[in-house]
Amino acid sequence: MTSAARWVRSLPAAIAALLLASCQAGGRGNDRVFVSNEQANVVHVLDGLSGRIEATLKTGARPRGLALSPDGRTLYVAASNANRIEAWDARSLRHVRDFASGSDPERFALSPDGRTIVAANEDHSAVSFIDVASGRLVREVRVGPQPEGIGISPDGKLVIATSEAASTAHFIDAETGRMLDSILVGSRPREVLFLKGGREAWVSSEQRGTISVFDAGNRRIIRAIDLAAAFPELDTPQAVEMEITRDGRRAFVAMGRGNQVAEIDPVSYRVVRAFATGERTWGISLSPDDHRLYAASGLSGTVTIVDLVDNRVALTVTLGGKPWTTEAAPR
Amino acid sequence: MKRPTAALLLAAIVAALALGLWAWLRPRPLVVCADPNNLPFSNRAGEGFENRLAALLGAELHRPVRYVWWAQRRGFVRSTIGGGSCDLWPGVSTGLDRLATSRPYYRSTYMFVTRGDAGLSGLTLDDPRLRRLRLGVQMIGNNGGNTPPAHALSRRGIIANVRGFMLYGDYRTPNPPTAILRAVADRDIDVGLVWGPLAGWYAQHSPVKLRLEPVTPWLDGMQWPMIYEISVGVGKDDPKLLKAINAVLARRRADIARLLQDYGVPQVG
Repeated sequence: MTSAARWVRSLPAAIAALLLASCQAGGRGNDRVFVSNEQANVVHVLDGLSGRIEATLKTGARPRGLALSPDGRTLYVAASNANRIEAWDARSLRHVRDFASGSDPERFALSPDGRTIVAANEDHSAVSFIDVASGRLVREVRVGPQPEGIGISPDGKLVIATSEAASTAHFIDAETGRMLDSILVGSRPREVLFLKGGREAWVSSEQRGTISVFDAGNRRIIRAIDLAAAFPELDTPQAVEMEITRDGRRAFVAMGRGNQVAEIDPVSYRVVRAFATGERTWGISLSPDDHRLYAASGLSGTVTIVDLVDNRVALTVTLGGKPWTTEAAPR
Repeated sequence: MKRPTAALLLAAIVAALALGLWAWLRPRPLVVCADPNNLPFSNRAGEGFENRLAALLGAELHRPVRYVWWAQRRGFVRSTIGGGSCDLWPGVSTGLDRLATSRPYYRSTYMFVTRGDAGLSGLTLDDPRLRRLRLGVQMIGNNGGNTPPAHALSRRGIIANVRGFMLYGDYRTPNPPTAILRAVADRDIDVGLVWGPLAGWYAQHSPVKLRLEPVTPWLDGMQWPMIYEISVGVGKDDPKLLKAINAVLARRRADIARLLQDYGVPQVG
């Protein structure tokens, strides 16, 4: 079946979900949720509270990674197969700019000052540094095969990139591009999350279902958070995207084919609870007020909205295609 | 004369049921795909550490171990997984695409192997001495596919003084991959770049004292790792077995570590 056919087929479901959502929630939320859909080649725009579909942005081929500028005004979209990162105005929803990102950008991150995009070039074993003001590719750092996760420390000085195929976390000096260290982690490392003011960096390993906790200062692994041990009933507990609330108290990890999002206490490193999501949940994000979590599930073609105040799944929005990840911007 | 016939029939039914019940209750064998001639990993006599690991898994899972012997040439996993003939492969690279792989039970590295009396300590891939010494690398399969150390040398233009040793060698001799180590011991080459478990085990038994040092940098040119994690592989359609194996590997971690130590497997943290 072509993606278009699948798209059409899932339309009634989307409309039904939409109607249901509007009946349930009624009001409009204080944020908008952007959902990249790597199969439909669009970014969906949803209302964070009701899940209502407000718009559909037609992007370059295979949109995957998403990020917002620090002020929340610009949405960046990695159009992997178009070899570019697109900039969209998060309010007017206009496509404002393209950045030549080097080939096959997958995940990327923005420096804390918003001036630099650091992107993983999946098919090119490189990490590209792009200057936002000039749009120029200022540096390319060679890393292990199939780079994926990118994290930038809160002070902007350290970049951690993961190589999926070499199971490695690369530590790169942001200013010079110098490779400081390459450390083995669990297989298929997917994402990097800095926390505790940048003192810790978590690296998720999809296949092993663990999170390697690094002391970001000395680049040593100080412990592993083991989702396989925490979820003995699951056949394939995985660890993919991670998020942490702005107060640093609640961390979340998308569990891939575990079809859940787990909440982890960053102090005890224990799993506190889990939320059931759609199938193959890779991407998650938090609402600007940290009251909601949005989880994209590629196989079920859904986004699950989790209420983090009442700790329950609020609703599921069916989009079809393959939702990859989400980002939420304030209105 | 009808009653004896009925009794006979009944007995036959009972016997059939008992047989069926026995067949149903009898533990299914754990079918292991392994190389019959590849110490220290495995051999037909069951002397390798992968044989010992398979026995440990069988005992823990209460299933008798049965082997499907297959020379571990190129396509080993592909050929053996195709027919669905095996339940597990005791030593595969973690994350291998074609199988579901367990949590790694060891992590080892390629080693520089030299004679103890050769005075060749502190080698790295960037050492100028590698340009003039006689080197040996392992090569895979009939088309001479390259191991990571072979890549590392060739991309430095170190080619003329390098001899390739087929990883799966001449199958008429015992444990053919050991040829590269014998060449070091016999002074046919000065340095062998050899996968850790093979080098460590050979050094244990070698009458000539050998020096083993990890090949560094461990991630050469950011593309060729010298360090690998090794797992038990199972079919992708068998998550229950994978979970059971992971549980055994965790429970018997100390015993497995001792087993690897007994075989001289160099482990990296």
